[in-house]
Amino acid sequence: MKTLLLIFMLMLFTTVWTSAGTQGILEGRVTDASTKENLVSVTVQIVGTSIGTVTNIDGFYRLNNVRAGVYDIKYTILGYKSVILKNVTVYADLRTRMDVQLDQSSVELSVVEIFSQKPLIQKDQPSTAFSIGEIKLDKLPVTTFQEILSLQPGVTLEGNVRGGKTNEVIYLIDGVPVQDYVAGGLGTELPKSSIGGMTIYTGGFEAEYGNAMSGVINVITKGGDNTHKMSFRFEKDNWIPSKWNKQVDQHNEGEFSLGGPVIPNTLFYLTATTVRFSNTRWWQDMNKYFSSPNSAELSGMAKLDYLASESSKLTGQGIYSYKDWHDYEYSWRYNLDGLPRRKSLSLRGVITLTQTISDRSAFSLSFTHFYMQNRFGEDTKAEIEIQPYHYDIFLRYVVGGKKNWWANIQQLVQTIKGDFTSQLDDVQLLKSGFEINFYDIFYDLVKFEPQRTYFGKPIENAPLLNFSNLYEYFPRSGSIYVQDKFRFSLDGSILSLGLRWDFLDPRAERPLVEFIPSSNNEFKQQVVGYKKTVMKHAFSPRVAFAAPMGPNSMFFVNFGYYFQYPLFEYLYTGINPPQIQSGARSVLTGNPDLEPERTIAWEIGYKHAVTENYVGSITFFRKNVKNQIDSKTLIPFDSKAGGDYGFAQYVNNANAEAQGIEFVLSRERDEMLSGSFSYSFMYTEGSSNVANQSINQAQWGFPIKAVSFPLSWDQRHSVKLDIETTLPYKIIANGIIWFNSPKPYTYFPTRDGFTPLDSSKDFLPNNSRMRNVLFGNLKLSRNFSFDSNNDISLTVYVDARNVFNTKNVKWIDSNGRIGGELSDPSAYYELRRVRVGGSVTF
Amino acid sequence: MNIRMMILGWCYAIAGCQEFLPSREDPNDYFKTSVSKMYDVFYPNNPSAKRNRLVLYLYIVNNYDDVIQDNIEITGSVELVWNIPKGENRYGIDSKKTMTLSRSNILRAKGYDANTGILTLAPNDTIVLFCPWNFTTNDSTNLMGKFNQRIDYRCQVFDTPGHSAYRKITTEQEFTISASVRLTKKTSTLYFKPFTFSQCFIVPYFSPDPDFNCLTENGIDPCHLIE
Repeated sequence: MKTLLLIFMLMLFTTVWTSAGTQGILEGRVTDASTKENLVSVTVQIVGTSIGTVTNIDGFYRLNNVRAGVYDIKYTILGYKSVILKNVTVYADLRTRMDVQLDQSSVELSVVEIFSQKPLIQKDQPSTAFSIGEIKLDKLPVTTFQEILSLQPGVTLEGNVRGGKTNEVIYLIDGVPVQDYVAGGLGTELPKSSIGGMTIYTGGFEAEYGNAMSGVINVITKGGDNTHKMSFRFEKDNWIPSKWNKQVDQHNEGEFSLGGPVIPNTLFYLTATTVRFSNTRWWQDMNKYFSSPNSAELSGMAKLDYLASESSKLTGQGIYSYKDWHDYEYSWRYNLDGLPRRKSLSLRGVITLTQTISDRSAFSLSFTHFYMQNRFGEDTKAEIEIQPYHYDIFLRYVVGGKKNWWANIQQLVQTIKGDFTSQLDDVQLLKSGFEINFYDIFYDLVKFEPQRTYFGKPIENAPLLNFSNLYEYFPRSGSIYVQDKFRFSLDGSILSLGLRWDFLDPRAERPLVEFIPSSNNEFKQQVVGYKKTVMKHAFSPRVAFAAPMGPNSMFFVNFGYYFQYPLFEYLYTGINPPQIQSGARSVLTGNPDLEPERTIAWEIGYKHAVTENYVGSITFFRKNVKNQIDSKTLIPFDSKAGGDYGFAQYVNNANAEAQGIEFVLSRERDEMLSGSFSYSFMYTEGSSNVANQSINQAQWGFPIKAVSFPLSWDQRHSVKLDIETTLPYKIIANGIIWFNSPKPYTYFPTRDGFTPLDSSKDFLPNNSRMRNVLFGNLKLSRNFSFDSNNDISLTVYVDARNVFNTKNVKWIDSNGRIGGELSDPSAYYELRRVRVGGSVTF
Repeated sequence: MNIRMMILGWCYAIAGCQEFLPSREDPNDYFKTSVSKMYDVFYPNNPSAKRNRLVLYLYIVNNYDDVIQDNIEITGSVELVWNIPKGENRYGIDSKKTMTLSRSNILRAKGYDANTGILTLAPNDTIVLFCPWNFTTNDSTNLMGKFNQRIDYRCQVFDTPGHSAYRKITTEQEFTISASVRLTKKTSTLYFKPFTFSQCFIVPYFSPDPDFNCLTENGIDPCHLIE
């Protein structure tokens, strides 16, 4: 009877919703506080939900597939005081272990509240990864995903992870990518109040994540629950009259969120919206040409969760973002209305069905429709007039003319994704899944740029370079993965084996071009046919192992192959048959037969809990990257075809390598003072900084030798410190300090901007170093609660970026001048910015 | 004490905030450009020294506070457009003349060394280029024959040998000049603001005997010869 009751309660309370990358496991043991005996049949329930279970004969409980987020967990059994563990954070893809001791009590309904403590060492994590919960995210003086990423050891301020390029990082929202597949980078924005947590992988990552080589950022969004909640936040940076405070972007931001039950226990909603207006850092110039604001942004999320039954859940989610702004370039400061106006729009809709098959297995199926559009310029295409620019006498500022740049770039991605998770037994957790993407890439670009010397001087009497393009293609991509994770005992080692297969079908034809010599070293281009491209595919094995070395230490090692398909811009530029037949030639030609870039990476690490508050770790990593995209001129660069520098195409001919060591010491479990200190040493070298490197060098007249050189983000030493402390009057302070050693730049001076000072010297990229960078951010916040449960509260905060007001150098020109000939202030990172804000929650 | 420290710290954080963009100095002011014209009148008594042309002068002044020195180049063009009078049907007439500039157009350039080809412009130095126009357009049409004319009854001349007639002066004609010139390879093209002006011309004739009434000083606008 008891067994039946147990089974019934398991089925009643266990709700298993799964989606790869959004769920974690909550488990632990419940014992008697006095006798230390295991307690059987303790009810474990997530407060405010119907998710729960009971402890087994060993006092052990496990809730599989709990959506990442912050919860209160209630433990109840007759004869004992109930305990509510507050603010338990469940992280995606990880096990959260909460062991609880219950005190005997004859008084019914007595409840003890305890604030949970995160384990010092996450023993089921065999790679370098960082999880940040919603509570911590709210306190940190950071805004964008990139800033959050840069907090991690081995990551630069710009988001290069362990020596990789910034577009080698993939961004996911609830396990589904939100990339810009044409230009790279993040394709949308999210309001801060919709973020439930974030997991960042800077080391190896499991087979469920693909099309990334350096890192994965998986953002988990919140959902509604049985409690109605509303919050409103507002912040600005120009709350002090401008005659006393010039250090502003004239930034105003408001955020509103609302959530709760539509039908209790059945239908929940959450909506969040952020509106942002700013005149940007350049407002002193911008305000002479444009009315305020120079930049306006709107982003938001809306979500509905429908619990169709105990075992089925249907979720509908919409994410939208819109931005409208004016570009700024310092050399155009006397002609800013000559720069194009920019707009970007993204709309994402996802429907996800999650279904429990048993108390150990579940699957999910999702359909995503993701649309992005980028616009450059306000005129219609027919109104564009291509004109050379007018410069000042020294060819430094553009004083007349409009930038010859108009674009309408649209991308639509429709994704079908399925994931299956099964805890086969106490040892084995199996995950597998598939993903298919259907793309519609429409690219209409009109762009003519002046030819320039290497030193940046425009060559006025040379023909303009034509980068225009018009095409529409419908590629497809997809993947299948299987991931098996073995945990050899309840507190034991982890072996993770994964295999992933990715494919990309460009569905394009490559023109076969013959260059027929005419006369005087001139060539005539002739298309003699088209060749259909073949589908590309790759296998990525991933292996990871983690083992405890005593109760307070663990060792881990992982190895894997990681692939990333090229951006569509590199595949399709200039190969469209109608464009070629019309005679319109672009500077660079795409190559739809490009292979994926490939990284082979491994890392080995050791973590040790030095005391009950301090954890130290040391990690060594190495990465080898092949098949990077670069460009190649296929006929002599002094040929007359294509505008004086030959025929150029994207190819896979570059490589890179990176290796380094990271030390981290963190202090946890102390409300008065917690934080971490990290030091990393690494180097990264390669043969190409950017995909256009070779064609640029050919245009400038000095090719780079085929040797490895430090890449532009090679940051050898970096020190990071983040501290959270409680000051008097309950003010919470969160401070972050970055110290980075100099990044490289190329010192190749010129006398006049046209010819090198010493033309006998070889051109060596990145042969000098800039300056050290020191940054500090500080956020002070104070919460005022108006009820005992903190359901109605006011938080006020001051968020200061670059609080030391240091002038940190971002770039130096080839003459060693910060900001070049113009002393362009964009060569420095932003100086101090102070924003003041408040939020009300009820 | 703690509150005071916090307030002090807060004030420091705010008061120390200054990021000014560099002051704005219009780079268009580095070089001043201007255009003028002169009507080089007709000298009937000295056929070998015939003029009757419009001469355009392009002035370029170094308004910068430093010396500019480089190999001279002088490339560019001057475009003169005859603004056809309103209401007149002038279909088929090419109204433009484009004149290419080169070193031969230098009238005055103090810092130019013709031997080395180096141009040195100190602050406030001026270069003057001149560009004569002989009334022909790009398709070689002579516009003198297209301008409306008025009779100057005070002056009798020979328009063909043996045939006397009254001198003719054109009605007022409007022109617009625009020009661009590059002084050296490493400086930008200078663009002159369009310059519009009106001008009358004397229709060519010959006169072996000087006639007081036909004397015309060089450079004056013949529009006023006929009241």
